[in-house]
Amino acid sequence: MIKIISSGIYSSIQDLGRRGYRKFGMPLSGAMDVYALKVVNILLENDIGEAAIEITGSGFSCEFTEDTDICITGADLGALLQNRDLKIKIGVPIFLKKDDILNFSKIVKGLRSYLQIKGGFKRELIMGSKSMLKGERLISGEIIKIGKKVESEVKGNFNFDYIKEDGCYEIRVKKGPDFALFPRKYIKSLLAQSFLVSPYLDRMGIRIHSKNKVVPIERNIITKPVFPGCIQIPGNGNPIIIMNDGQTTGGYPVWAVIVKDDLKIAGQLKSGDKVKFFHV
Amino acid sequence: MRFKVHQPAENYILLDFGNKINEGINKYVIALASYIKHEAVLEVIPAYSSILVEFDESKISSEKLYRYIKHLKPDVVKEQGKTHIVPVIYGGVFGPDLKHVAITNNLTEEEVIKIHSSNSYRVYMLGFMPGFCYLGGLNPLIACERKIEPRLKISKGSVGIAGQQTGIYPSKSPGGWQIIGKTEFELYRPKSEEIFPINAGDVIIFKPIVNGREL
Repeated sequence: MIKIISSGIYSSIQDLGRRGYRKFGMPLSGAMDVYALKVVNILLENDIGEAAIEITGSGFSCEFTEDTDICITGADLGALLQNRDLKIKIGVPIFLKKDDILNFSKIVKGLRSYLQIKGGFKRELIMGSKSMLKGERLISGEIIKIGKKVESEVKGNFNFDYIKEDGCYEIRVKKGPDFALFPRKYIKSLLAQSFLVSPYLDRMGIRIHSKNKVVPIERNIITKPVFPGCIQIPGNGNPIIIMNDGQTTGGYPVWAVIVKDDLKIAGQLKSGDKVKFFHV
Repeated sequence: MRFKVHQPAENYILLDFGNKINEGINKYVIALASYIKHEAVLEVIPAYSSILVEFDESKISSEKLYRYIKHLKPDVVKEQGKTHIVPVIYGGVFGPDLKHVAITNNLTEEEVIKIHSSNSYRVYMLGFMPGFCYLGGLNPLIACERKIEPRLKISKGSVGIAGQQTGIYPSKSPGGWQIIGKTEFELYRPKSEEIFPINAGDVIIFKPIVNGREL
C-alpha cells in the first residue's frame, strides 16, 4: 500500500479516460499527458493504460508500506526519497523499500508527473475507468492499494525532451471545425504571436492570452461536441484549450485543434509559460 | 441526408449537418449515431446537428471510416425515444424566479406553470455537465432572459428557463437560469445501474405537483 502524506497542489488517479459516456455529458477525463502515462507503464511492464497518480506541481508526498518497484515520468517535480536523500531520475524505475518517503519538492520543468508502481493501483472502475471524476482528488491520509503484477515486454527508448525548462513551447495545430468563421487577418495574428499561459488552468481547460487583444468573434454557433485539444475563442478573445475534464460540448467557435502527438505538451503547460502555434 | 466531414484531429472526425437546430435533422443525427458500430470506433457523440466520432487511427483510415458511415442507412422512424414524466414543484422556495418569469411575460404564475407543463419537450442532445439535457419546445410566451447576476449555487433538480430554453440541473452548479421549480427526478444516477436514464431523442413532460400530489 502507499499512504498519501500530502496531496500537494492537486493530485488524482488517472488512466486513459472514460469512453462511451461523453454522449451523456460525462467528461473524457484521463491523463493530461497520455504519453508520460503510457511510458511509465511500459517501463514498469504494466498494461499500457493502467491508472497512475497524476501529480500537479509541487508538494505531493507519500509513504510506502511495502517494498515495490516504482517509476516517475513526465514533468520533473524534484522527486526525492526523503529518508535516503536520494533524487529520483525521471523515466528510470527504482526499487523502493517499506517506509521509504517520496517527496515532490519543487517544479524543475513541466507541470504534471506520473507516479506508478509495478502492478498499478487497485481501484473500482467508474463507468469503465479508474480515472477520478472531475474535481475529485487524492486527499492527505488516503491509502491506496497496489494492484496485481502482470507480465509484459519492455520496448523502446523514451525521453521527455518535449518538456522545456524555460517554459517556451511550440505546438502544432490543425484547422478547427470553425476555422472558416474567422477573418484571415485574425488567423495570421493568432499564428504570428506568442501566447502567455494564464494562472487559470486546470484539468478542464487552459486559458491563454496575448498582448495584442484579439477581436472577439460575434458569430453564434450551435452547441457541438468538443474534445481535449480544441482551442475555443470565447467573446473576450482569449483562447481556451479544452482539456480532459472539460465539457463535452461547447458553443464557442473552435479555431484550431492541437495535433494528437502535441497534446502531451498542453498537459505540461503551467502559468507563465509561452506558447506559439504552428499550423500543419 | 447530406453532411460535411471535418477531420479536426488524427483520431476524430466531425460530421456536420449544418448550423441549425431542426427536429428532422436531429432525429437523423441521433439515428445515424446509433448505427455507427465499427470495431475501430471508440466513441460516438451526437449533438444538435453534428456527430463527433473518435476512432483508433491505427485500425482504420478516416477515409475508410467516412465511407463506412456514408453507406449506413438509419431507420429514423424506428428509432423513437422514450417519454419521461418529470414531476415539478413550481414556485415558492423551489422556484424563486417564477414570479419574475410571470411578470416579464405579463402572465400570472399559474399561467406560466400551465404553459410550461402543457408542452412536451424533445431531448436534442446531452452535454454541458453529466446528464444535462438540451430541450426543445419551450413556448415563446414564457421565454425569459438569464439573470444578470448568476447564482453561485443552483441546487440539483432545479428547473429553469434561459432565453428560449428550458432545462433541469442534474447536479448543483453555479448558473444564471431563471429557476421556476424543482424536481426529484434524477438525470445523473452514479450509484444506479442505469446511470443516465435519459437519452438524446427522448421526450420530457413536466407534471406540476401541488401539496405533494400531481395535478
